[in-house]
Amino acid sequence: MAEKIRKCAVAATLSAALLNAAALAAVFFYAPVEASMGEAQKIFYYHVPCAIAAYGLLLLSFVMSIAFLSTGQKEYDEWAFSGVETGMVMIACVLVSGATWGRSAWGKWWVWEPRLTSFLILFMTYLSYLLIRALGTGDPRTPKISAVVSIVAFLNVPLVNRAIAWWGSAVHPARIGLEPPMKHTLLLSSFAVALMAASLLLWRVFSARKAEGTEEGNP
Amino acid sequence: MRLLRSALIVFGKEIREEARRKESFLASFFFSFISIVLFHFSLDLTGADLSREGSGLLWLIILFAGSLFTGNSFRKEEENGTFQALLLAVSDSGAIFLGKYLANLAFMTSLGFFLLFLSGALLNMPVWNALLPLAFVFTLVNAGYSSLATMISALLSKEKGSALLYPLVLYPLLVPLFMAAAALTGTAMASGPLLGSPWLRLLVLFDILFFVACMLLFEYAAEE
Amino acid sequence: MGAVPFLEVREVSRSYGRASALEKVSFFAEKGRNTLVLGPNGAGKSTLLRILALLTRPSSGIILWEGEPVCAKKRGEFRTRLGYLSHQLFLYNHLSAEENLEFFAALYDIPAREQKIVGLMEQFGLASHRSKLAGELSRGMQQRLSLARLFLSDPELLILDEPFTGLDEESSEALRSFLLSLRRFNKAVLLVTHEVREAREIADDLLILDRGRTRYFGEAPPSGKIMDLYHEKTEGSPP
Repeated sequence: MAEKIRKCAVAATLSAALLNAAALAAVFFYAPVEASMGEAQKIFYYHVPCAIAAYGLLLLSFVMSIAFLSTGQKEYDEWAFSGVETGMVMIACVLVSGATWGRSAWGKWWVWEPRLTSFLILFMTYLSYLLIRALGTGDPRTPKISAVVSIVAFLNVPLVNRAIAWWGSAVHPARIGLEPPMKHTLLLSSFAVALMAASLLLWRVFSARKAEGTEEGNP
Repeated sequence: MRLLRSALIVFGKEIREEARRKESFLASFFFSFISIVLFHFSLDLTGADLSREGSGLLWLIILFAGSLFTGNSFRKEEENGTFQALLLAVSDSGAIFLGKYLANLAFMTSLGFFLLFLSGALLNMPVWNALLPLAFVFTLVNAGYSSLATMISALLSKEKGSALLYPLVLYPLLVPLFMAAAALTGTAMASGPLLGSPWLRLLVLFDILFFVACMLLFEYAAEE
Repeated sequence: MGAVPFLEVREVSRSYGRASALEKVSFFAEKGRNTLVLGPNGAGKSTLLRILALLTRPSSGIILWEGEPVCAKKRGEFRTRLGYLSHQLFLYNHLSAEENLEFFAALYDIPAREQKIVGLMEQFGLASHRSKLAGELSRGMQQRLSLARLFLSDPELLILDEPFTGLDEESSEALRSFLLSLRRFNKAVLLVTHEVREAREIADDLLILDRGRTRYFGEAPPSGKIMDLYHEKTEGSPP
């Protein structure tokens, strides 16, 4: 099983590297420079895919947590945990790229822009998940506790998003008119980031399996 | 009906026990009181729009003070292992959740009124003319707060460092509730229309969603 | 013995993360008989009792009550039919002795509650302490109150985890004679204790565990021989 995951991880990493190279080339040489924001707009091609990947990984963790609670199989718990860890990396990318964009668009590193703010809340929510994991290492109850937290946290996501959208005024361009080359680039970079996220996830699950294997080898 | 009956017995026990223990509710009432006083020194509220800024401040205090009490609601059952005795005595563990939920809701309601009274008396917030709409908003917010607070208290009660972890897990989850609470409390204080506000819909959705989710998840939170 | 044992445990295992606490433990218990569970520290005795008390789920294996498997849906129902006592007291320190009993009696929905509580208080010598807070009673009295609480619901299966811990001489004696009297009440009793001296004369059946595995299950030898058997099966580890 671990071997199979390793093979998938290698395949995902290689294709992610290829696709990212292609996506970066497209971002810099194919996509046109946006008129009002200039070169900085190109952050967008990685910012948005990271956000999508983050949601995808958290959704995976939500589903795996439900599966873990109902079956008690620890494989599901590994997927759920890895999903959150990798998801947190993606959220961090969203926040950093968002802040960088903010610096060039509005001259400030941080503005309380609704979608960025909701990622900040998301980051804090799942930080508590990682905290439970870190403090409860080896405790047999930890997987169950974190599964419950992951479920509740994910249920909260749409509510957080709505609440934050109503609270502040929308700074995010609600719908960006994308020229076809921009659309193509975004599509390509989305696939590239998705594969990158998948390879991170697979490596994470693989290392968990391997750690378990060696521990079982010498009790 | 058996469930409701058991829940009410647990609720009665909670009230009697807390009335004798005193530590949790005194701690959170005292915390609220000192916070109101300290806020007077830290923020200049003269000339501020009290219905808007004041309501956020009020909910910040309730958020913190409430968790002092609710966090303890299952931790105290660990002292003599009484949580296991509870589990063995009811055929549906949902009854324990419901009983504790009602006790936390009752406490949060009293804390809410205490704070409304203090903020009206000491900070001159416009609460006196809006007591009825405020009670309506507070009840809905506390209903949502109590679901998550009760379930997470049970979830973390056996963890080492649960007193530290509890607020860290709870507060981020309460962000949408907090925003709705502050917005609606502000509207109520300014005598604005509550019904039809999108915040009210969000609040009701939060209440229902997390009550159901917490009731279902409680069984997993309780067992080992 | 009847065709179907009152309580049957089939190949129950439990692992905590990667460490396994119990491995395929099987045995059965009958009403009117006391089963003594012995084993060195870390043998999985407490885990086994918590699983039987339906407070911990086994990783695999099943438990049958009168031939009926305890499934997820019915766990709560079965739980109310058993009594579990560990080194913890299961009492609310801030409720009086009587209030503690009243609370649990109400939860168990016991008919003719008042009489039952008064009767139990008498039986366990608590009548003069009824309105004292449980937290203010002496350790021996607390243990008695804890036992009274256990008998409120008239459980068919009694699970006792180290009940002699923290008891003075007099209370231990009372507990021992009480456990002896249980046979008459037709209850299945499972008892874990490391004080074999206290328990040997009340054991009918014996289960010896070591490192999560069953080493012996069967009728208990005459009280003097229990320790010999124990040492033989566990390679001399102290109980």
